[in-house]
Amino acid sequence: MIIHAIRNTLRQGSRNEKGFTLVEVIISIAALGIICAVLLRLFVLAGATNNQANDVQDAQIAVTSAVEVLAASDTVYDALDALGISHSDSITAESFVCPKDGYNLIIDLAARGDYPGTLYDISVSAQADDKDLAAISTSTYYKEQTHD
Amino acid sequence: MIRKLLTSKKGSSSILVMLLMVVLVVFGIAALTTALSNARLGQKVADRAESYYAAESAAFERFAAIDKAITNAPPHDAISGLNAMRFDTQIAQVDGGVTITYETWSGDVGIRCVLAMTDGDIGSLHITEWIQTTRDD
Repeated sequence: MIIHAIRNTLRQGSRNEKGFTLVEVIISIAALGIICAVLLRLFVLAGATNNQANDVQDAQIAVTSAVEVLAASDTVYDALDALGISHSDSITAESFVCPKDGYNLIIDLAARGDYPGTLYDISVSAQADDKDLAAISTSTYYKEQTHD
Repeated sequence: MIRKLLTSKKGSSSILVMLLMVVLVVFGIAALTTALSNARLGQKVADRAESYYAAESAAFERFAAIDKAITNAPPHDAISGLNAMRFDTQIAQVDGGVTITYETWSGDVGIRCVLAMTDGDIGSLHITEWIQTTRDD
């Protein structure tokens, strides 16, 4: 029915010599502009949400990767070397900051307990503008690393 | 009446504009829904990773405690040290050694860990299995 009406209008449109007044055109453009602005906000919001989700996912991958390197090494020093972080010869509780593309990777390490090896509490977070994008806390036991 | 409506050209441009608007709204809502789903999925992955690493943390703590118990046990009697521990571990004697099995959980995510040690060699304690399990398994 609607298609039929559209086709009718198009067919008769060329014979119709009546036009719109300037005021009508301005009002209709203004009304359309307002509606389009609201709709555009919807698209902008969708784009911003998507970008934010992508940033969080990238940060999550970076944090997981750092935690895996820390967990897979024989000693905490090997892990920090593998991550390209300069460190002292003895780490009991220390915080390291690695600047990455668009965010900072912050690694907190704290040795605890009295074990034959060394048990570290590890906290890795990715921060951008003082906001946590992703964070993981875990512990790793370095059996090969004796107490400092 | 219907015939008159169909042949009339009045308001047809409004119909076209309204159709365009509806199409734009549908596309906008679809884009926003996709973006929100993406964000929700990212959050779910982050929650899962948090649970996994919490379970792994507990597993490493237990590994450290077992290592300590074995080190502090009387010579050639590591099992007495393990039996003195309060947490739930399965200890099995195998050819020339001992295996220690335990699980740690955080929410629905768990870690099943098997440690092995050669008889009389406390320094040989090592991880042989480190498997993620879920409540559904």
